[in-house]
Amino acid sequence: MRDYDEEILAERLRALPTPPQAWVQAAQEIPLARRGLDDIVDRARADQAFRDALIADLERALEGAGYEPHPALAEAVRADCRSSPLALRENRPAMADDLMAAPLGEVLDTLAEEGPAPGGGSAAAIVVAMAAGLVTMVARASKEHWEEAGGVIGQAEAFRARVAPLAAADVKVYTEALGALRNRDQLEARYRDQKLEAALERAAEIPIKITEAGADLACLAALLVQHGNPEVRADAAAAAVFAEAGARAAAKLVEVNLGTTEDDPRVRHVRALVGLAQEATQRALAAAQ
Amino acid sequence: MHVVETDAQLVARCRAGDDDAWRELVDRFSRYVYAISVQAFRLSEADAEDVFQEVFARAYEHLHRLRDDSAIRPWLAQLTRRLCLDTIRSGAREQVGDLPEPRDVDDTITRLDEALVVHEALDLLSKDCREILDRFFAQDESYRRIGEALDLPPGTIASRISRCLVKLRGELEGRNPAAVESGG
Repeated sequence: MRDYDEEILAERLRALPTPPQAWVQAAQEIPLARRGLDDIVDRARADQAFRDALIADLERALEGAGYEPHPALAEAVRADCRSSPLALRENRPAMADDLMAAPLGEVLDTLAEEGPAPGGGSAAAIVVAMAAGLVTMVARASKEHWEEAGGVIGQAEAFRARVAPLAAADVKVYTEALGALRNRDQLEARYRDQKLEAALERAAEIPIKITEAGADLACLAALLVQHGNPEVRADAAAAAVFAEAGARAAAKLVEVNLGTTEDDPRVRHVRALVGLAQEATQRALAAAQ
Repeated sequence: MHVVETDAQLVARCRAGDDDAWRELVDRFSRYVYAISVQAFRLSEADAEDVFQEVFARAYEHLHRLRDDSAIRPWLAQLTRRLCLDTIRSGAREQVGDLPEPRDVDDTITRLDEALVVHEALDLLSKDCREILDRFFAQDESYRRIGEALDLPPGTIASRISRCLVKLRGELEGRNPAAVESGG
C-alpha cells in the first residue's frame, strides 16, 4: 500500500463522484424488473398464436389501405438522429471547451473579443480558480506551521477542480440562453415564457456554483491567514480577496440572469454567501496586517 | 466503526438471490463504474448512463460465471471498459478502421482502484467523518449546505474536513496490506 498524504486522499475521494440517484435506483431494481419481464415474456409466449394472427390481420389491413413497407425511410430517420449530436458538438466554440487548457494570454484575448461569451461568468470562475491555486500554494508552505494544512490543500484542490470547468460551462449555457432570447419569436407562443425561463435558470445555475465555491474559498483562505506560514500570509489574504470578488461577480450575474424579485430564494442564497465571503475577507485582511 | 462485508461475501449473497445484497453491490460499485466511463473514456452523460445500466444488467445476468467471488471489481472494470469501447465505436461508425482506446485508460483505472480502497477505508471512520468527507469531496456540496445538513456551524466545516482527512490517513496507514489488496 502506497503512502497517502491528505492531498492525495482528497484527490482519490474526488475521483469517485456519485452517479445520478435515478441510475443507481434503476440498476438496483434489476432483479425486480427482470422478474416482471420474465412474467411478461411467459404471458407473451402463451399468447403467441393470438399475436401472430393479430399481426397478420394488421398487415393485411395496411396493404388493403394502400400502405407499403418503406425500410429506407426508417433508416433515414435513424441516420438523422445519429448525426444531430455531432453537428451540435461541431458548432460549439472551440475556445469554450479549451478555456483552461489555453495559454493565459489567449484566454485574456478571448475575453476581450466582441462576442458576449466568454464573459463575466467565465472570468469569475477563473478568478475563483486562481484563488484556489493560491490557497494551495500557501497551504503547501504551511505544513510545518499547522497540522490542518494538508487538509486545506485537499479542499483547495477540490474547489479548483470544481470551479475551473465552470469557465467553459458558463460559455455554453449563456450562449444557449442568449440564443433562446434572440430567437424568442420563433418559439411556439404557448411555450415561449416557459422555455425562456428554463434557459435563463440554466444560465443562473453556473454562477450559483461559482458563488458557492468563492464564498467557501474565502473562508478557507481566512483560516489559512490565521494559522498558516506568516511568510506567505499576504498571498492567502490575496486569495480571500480574489475568492470574494469572484463570488460577488457571479452573484450579480445570478440576480441579472434570473431577473426575479428580491424574494427569490436563489438570490437570497447568493447574497448571503457574498456576505459570508466579505466577512471572511475582512478577517483575512485584518490578520495579515 | 462498523464491520464491512467483503466483496466475496456480498457476491455470494447476490448469487443466492438476495435482492438486498444486489442493492448493496450496486451501491458499492456504482461510483466506480460511473467513474470509468466518464473519466477513463470521457463518455457523455447520456452514453455513460447507457453503459452504467448495461454493465449492471449484464453483471446480474452473468454473475454465476464469475469464478472467484472476490474478483468482482476487476470483472466489473473489464465489463465497463468493453461496453465503453463499444459505445465509442458505434458513435463513430462512419470512420474507417478500429478506434484505439483513449490514452491513459490503464492509469485512470489504477487510480480509480486506489480510490475504491480509500472509499473502503472511509467506511471504517465515524459516521460524522464519513458524511462530511463524502459530502464535500464526492458530492461537491458547499460548506453552507454541509453545515445545514449536519447541523454544524459553517465556520467549523473546513477544519473538520481537514481533521477527518488526517483520521482517514491514519486508518489507511493502519490497514492490513493483504486486506487492501483483496479489496476487502
